[in-house]
Amino acid sequence: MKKITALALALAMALSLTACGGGNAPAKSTPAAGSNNASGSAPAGSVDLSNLSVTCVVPYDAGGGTDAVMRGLADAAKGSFKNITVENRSGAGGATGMLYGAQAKNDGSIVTMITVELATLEAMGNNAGLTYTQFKPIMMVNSAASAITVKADDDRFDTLEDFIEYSKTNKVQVGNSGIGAIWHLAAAGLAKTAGTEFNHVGYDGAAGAITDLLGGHIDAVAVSYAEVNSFVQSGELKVLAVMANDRLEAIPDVPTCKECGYDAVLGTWRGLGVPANTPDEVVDELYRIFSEAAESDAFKEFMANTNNVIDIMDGPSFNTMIGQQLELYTGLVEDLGLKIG
Amino acid sequence: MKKGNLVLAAVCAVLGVGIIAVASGYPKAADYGTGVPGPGLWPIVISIVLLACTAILIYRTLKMSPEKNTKIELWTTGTRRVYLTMGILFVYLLVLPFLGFIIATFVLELIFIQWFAKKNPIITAIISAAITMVVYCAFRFVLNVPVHTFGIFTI
Amino acid sequence: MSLLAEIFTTSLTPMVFLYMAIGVLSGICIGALPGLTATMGVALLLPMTFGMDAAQGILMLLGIYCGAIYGGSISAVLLHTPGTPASAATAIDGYALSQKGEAGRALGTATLSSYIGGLVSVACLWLISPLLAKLALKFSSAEFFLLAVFGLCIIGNISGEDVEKGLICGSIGVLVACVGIDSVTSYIRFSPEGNYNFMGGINYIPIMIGLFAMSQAFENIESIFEEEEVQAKLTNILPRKEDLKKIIRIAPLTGLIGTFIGIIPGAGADIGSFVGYNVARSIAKEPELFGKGSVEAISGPEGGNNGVTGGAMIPMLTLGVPGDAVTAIMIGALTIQGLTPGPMLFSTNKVLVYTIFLGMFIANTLMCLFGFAGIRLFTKVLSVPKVILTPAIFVLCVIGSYAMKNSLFDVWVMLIAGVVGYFLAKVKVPTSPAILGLILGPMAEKNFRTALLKSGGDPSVFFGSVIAWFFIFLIVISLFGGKIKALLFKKKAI
Repeated sequence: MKKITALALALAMALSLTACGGGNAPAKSTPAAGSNNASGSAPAGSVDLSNLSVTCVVPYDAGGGTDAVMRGLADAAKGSFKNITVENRSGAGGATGMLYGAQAKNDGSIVTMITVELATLEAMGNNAGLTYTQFKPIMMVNSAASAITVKADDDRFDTLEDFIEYSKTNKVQVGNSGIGAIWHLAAAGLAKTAGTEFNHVGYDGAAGAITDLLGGHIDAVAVSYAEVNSFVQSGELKVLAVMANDRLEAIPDVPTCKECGYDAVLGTWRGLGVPANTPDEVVDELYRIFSEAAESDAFKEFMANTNNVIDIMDGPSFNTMIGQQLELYTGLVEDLGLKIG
Repeated sequence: MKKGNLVLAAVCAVLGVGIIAVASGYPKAADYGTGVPGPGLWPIVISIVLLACTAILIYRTLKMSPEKNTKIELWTTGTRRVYLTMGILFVYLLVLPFLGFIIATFVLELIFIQWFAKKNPIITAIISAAITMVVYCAFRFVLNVPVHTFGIFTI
Repeated sequence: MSLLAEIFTTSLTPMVFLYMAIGVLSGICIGALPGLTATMGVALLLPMTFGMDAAQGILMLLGIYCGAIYGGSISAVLLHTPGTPASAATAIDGYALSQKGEAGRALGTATLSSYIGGLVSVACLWLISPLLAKLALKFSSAEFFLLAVFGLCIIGNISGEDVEKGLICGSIGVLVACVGIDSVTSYIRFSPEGNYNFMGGINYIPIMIGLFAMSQAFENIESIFEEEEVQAKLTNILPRKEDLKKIIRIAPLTGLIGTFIGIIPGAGADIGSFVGYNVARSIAKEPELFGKGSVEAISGPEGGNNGVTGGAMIPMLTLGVPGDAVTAIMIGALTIQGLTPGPMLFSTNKVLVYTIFLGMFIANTLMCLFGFAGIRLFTKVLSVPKVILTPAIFVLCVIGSYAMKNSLFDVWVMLIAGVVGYFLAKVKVPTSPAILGLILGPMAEKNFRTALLKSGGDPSVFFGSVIAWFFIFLIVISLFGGKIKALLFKKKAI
């Protein structure tokens, strides 16, 4: 059952329909085909990594969303290294793989996909010694915001305000992908901002929560828009608001929580990191290679096909952001009384 | 059989009581305030089932008819061989992270096949190398399992 | 008719057949290797489909899926090593038959039953999937809890003579599954401080490999220098008439049940096979043979686990909700192609949907053909001298348990499970209940508590729906069915 959780969690991401920002070519070519001419350009940094064999560690199972993003990016960057392979090291909610990556060799040969769990696991206290300072972030690659979603034929809620007001007098059941997981914390964050309380119901992955919502067993889910997109399109579910800074391109009519007066911007993100003691010039060169790969048409098309949003941020700002997120989630976890040990 | 059953019962009793002792220290339902049983309830319930079954086992063992009471041989040439095998595998797992998969596995196969098959050492070596390489290549290259990431010899 | 023509001209090209054949073959191999499950196989080969079109990609994955679920039975029969958890129930009687020198008969039964189970589920998928899809949504935590409890009741039937020993083993399985982060409160149970290997919970695949394969290998060591009396005779690859009768009686029914299990999100082929075993036992002509090498006992779980394949596709295609872990990956495969599974798929991509239906039928047929053609080849494994086969099994156990999560900790778990399994076998404790407990224990606990969370602590949720009562009925029957039967027969006698 754990596998299913991890898969469903990851799938959540793969499902997102939000179109990617760039002007991507709509032609249906295979994502694996393009972008191996990156090796032609001369390295700009002081180190040459073209003879390095790079292993990308994904802290979740193969076939999930995190895995898909990493494989797509590795494919787009394959011309810049001697070779590049993707390795899955799942377990303990992502802690296993990230700990492995944090303790790896510092020559840039092991690049780890770091995700929002880097902050949430530590906030929860089940990080097994994992902390974000063990990493030197290279860049953020993509992100997705939480979307408050209810049944389309639910007359009680037409707007987020309805939902919040209703929750103040009644018990609403809000489903998430797992207790302490990002969507749980996102829903809790909204409740905290709005001064109300939800009854959080944790599932093994977002799919279970959505199924229960479709069956009318709970009132709402707070997962990413990607995960509910197909049901919104078929008219079975509706999104009340998204916890993003700006409205999503796929659903321009749906307001953000900020617009509704609840300042909650919460969601998941993924990026790349190397051990903290990696030399700066190696990190710079990795940033150059991977940001080039992330802006390649092949990767853009891949991300559009898998419905992921590309959201690039450089290493130092990414590092600052992770620190802020940790603080935010630590506060939330304390409010929720979820802290372990 | 009787003795074996009683040893099993003793182990289970210790396990059951131990788990109940640990799990009763876990947070209670009231600590969460949601009306949901705490993390300790389920292990306690299952431990009670375990203890109940253990009690039945003891009762049935004591009333066991003598003809059903077959002797369990735990110290024959055969079982001693098994214990030695277990020991070798234990050592193998201990050295595996340092020697890497290929060397450790080749040596392991060499030991076992030479011991069991008593063939010409060269043939043994060839068979061991073949098994090791087939398994290694199938998992490393076809199935993409990273069996090469630990040990001194990483290719 | 025009739809059919369109399917054959546009999507079911010879190339697709080739991909499907590759998929089924690699699926069988992956399934037969302990430690590599159907989920892993599909996930590992998923990147290969990125370059294909939608029909090619999804049908290759389907081939892997069907092949792997069947392939697990090959090593279960020949080596007492279920290749995937879905074949754990098959190992019991399959290996018993194999030891009598009737490996061919066991494999033939498994192949034909898998085929029948697969066919039944494809038929359901084709004919009544929109109807059945609604059923999946009716399942909520309370129903899942009762389903899991029903599954746990099967322990009584796979325990042989001493039911209390089976229950002891099952309880230990459930307790082992408690280790790690509790998913309802995220409290860490029975785990050494700060050890993330325990924190994430103990994976049951290495335990299964240890309990079945490793302990069996240890037992082989005991008599490693003795001449092997049993040589596998390759008679009866095609099932005999009386076997055929039994298979036809059992496999379609367990296939149908497997389909229903598949539809329920979160219940996969492993549960389908155990329920199949249980049903087979209750309707068998010779239930006394169960555990000693019964054809019916192989037919039941094999029909059940392959029945799950089509069933799991139903909610995936009609609702966009995965029926099990494999179909969850398939949703990913479809979205990469720019397709969104769900109600819209039937109207916007009718040809693709029917290509999948037809393709699944073909994949099952290929599986059956490869299966029968390969039985001679598979059983060659048994002619490898024990003195070489056993050390090779050790290596396979080690690497198989490592492969799941690329973790050496899992290899230790496997070895310890193997040692424990060896001694449990000495005191005649059946080990398959432990697997059942490991799989169903967490499902029962989590859903029990989630149901109460949703109802605010009100236990009446467990009696609140027709499905709930249906499972309560099944639980009562499976616990006291024998006694009720006896009572009825007594009355008739008077």
